[in-house]
Amino acid sequence: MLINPVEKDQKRIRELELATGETISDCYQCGKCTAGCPASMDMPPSVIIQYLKLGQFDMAKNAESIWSCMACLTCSERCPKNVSPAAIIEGLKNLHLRDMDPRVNLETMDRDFLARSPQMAIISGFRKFI
Amino acid sequence: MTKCTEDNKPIMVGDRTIPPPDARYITISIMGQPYEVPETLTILKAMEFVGYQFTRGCGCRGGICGACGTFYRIEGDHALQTGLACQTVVEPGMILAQVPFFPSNRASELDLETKMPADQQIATMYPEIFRCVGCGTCTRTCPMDIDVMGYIAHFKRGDIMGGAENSFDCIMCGLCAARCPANISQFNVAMTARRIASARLTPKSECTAARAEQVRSGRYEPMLAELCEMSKEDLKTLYVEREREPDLAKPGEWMPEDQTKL
Amino acid sequence: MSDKPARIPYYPGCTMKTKALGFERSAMDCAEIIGFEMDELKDWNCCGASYPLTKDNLMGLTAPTNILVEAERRCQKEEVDPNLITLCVFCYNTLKRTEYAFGQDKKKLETVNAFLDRKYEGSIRVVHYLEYLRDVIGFDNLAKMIKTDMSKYKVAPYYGCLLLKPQKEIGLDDPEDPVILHNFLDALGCKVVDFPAQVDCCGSYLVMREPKKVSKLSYDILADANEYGAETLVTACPLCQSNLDQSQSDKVQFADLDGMPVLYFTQLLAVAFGLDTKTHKLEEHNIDPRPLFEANGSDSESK
Repeated sequence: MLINPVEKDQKRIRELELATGETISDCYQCGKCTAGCPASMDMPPSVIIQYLKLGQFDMAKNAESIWSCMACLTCSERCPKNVSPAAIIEGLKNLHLRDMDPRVNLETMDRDFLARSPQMAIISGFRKFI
Repeated sequence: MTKCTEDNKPIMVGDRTIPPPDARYITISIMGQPYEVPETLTILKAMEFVGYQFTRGCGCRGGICGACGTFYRIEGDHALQTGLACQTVVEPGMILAQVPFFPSNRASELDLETKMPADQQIATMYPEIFRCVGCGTCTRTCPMDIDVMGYIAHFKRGDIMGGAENSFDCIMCGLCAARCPANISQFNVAMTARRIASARLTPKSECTAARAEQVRSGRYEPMLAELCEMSKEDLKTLYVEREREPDLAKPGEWMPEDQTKL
Repeated sequence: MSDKPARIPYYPGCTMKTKALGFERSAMDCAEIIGFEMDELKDWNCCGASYPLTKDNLMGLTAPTNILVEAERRCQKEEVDPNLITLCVFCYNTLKRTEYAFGQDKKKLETVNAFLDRKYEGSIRVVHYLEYLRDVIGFDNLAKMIKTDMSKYKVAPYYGCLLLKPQKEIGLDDPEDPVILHNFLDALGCKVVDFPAQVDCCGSYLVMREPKKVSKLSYDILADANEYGAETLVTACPLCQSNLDQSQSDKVQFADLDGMPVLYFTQLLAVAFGLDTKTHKLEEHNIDPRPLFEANGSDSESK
């Protein structure tokens, strides 16, 4: 794989940092976030951040794994450099959501789920997925 | 442009508008064009004054049907304002672009016979209510001063009756739905909730049901037949000489002398 | 303890009024015994159940601010301490982080106030019911009020995530090694089952898209508690309770685990107080806790 940081991607990473309030270059890849993450991600948090550090914005943004983050905040709590991978992941999700690219469809979602779930599951789920 | 007489008095071309003789004229913008209109007119009357004819977005003209929901701005002010065209008086610099109605979302089927709890019914018909971010834009938009965000909050927490009651003044103008960032059609959710509340949550009136049963059983048929046979004079006499419960009688205390018809 | 019970403004949250009604009822019944009253706010809206993790999202603060404004108005009018007590952990987390954010960044508060056309001054302190028990009542005093012999109960304290994280903003307890629920259970007289998975995530809102993952995460937590000898779990979060309780219907995932009831901590407290639990919605749990209460003793006679 050819690593070729594109100027356009650098700009998008900079914008992501401004939107989330995070500094991606602070990460020194210790891997504590990945070790503590319960989400069984194909592309775990430290790998997502590494792609961003290498300027591979679309690899991070289009990873399916970002949708498995459950905001448990274990990564943010344990990071020795006070980086919040959870915030970075939410920033990436927001790029999709604000571009009308949601992961849940109100019309086709399971009606039984809506009827029997505690409201907080529906409300927080909608915030993260629509 | 407003038609004028030779000495520059504006000619009324609209519907039933008679401005006072000393009415001042102000400039407003309608659909991108400037017009001079008497300052005492409502938006609806002002638009008709200059020659527009409303075939949509106009109804009772009395502030209660919700057909004429209007967005407008005042030149120099960044804020978007709302009101009913039939109730809102024009202001200098008002900028108008009438929309006949706003496309809203309405769930297709309402099952009033279901055993599903009312709150689950609303949740499954209108899941978008759970997208409400509590921004309150709807409440600030409502021309009837309803706390729209408030009644949606009631529905979210399962209080269908409370939300139904709080939405009672709604005239279905649709302005709230037009501005909602979560794309909720609040007024349709509220209407559905009110229908569910009446059909399923309000206690049934037993005395009404009992009376209806009496009527269905034919109890009043002989009496009606008797009345139909009577002459006009006899009917008049019967009416004038009828027994009437005194206005301030305590409930259950007064009984007529002739109790055969009870 | 004064004669008149302290009345504290209370924010329930949407779930508390429907799916977690048993949590609220048991909490209120226990509060009465302890000597305080949870006084529900008159007008309240949903908190959003989600604190925005990105700094650019102020829309996520509008709902919590409305609630804090209402609480502040109430406290100022009644001239009481500006505290707001919560039960639901999602609500607690969202409101507490909002409180912290406004404390750190006055400009953010001004911006949200301007948008909402309201004037929140930032005075409210958000308190969790457990926090109130620990800091105002005191677990020692709580222990003196217990009427039932709870020594047969082997209870695992399950903390979940949002009660404790982020520590800097919530500040209730240590997210890696918390003790507040342990000490609570100690006060009740139960056998406290310390287990490693007590701060592991149940899966939270992922239940909307990946229920199998939630099932697995729930299994890992319950199996761990079981291995360490627990017969029941207590939690403070209605979503944790729902995920842990409901996922046990997945007979494939839970093939080797008998049903383990998942209780709200106030439901267990009510048992410890010897209260009538008929209205605490125990029958709505997927894994019925009532047989456990029968076996271990649930009324004051047993003391």
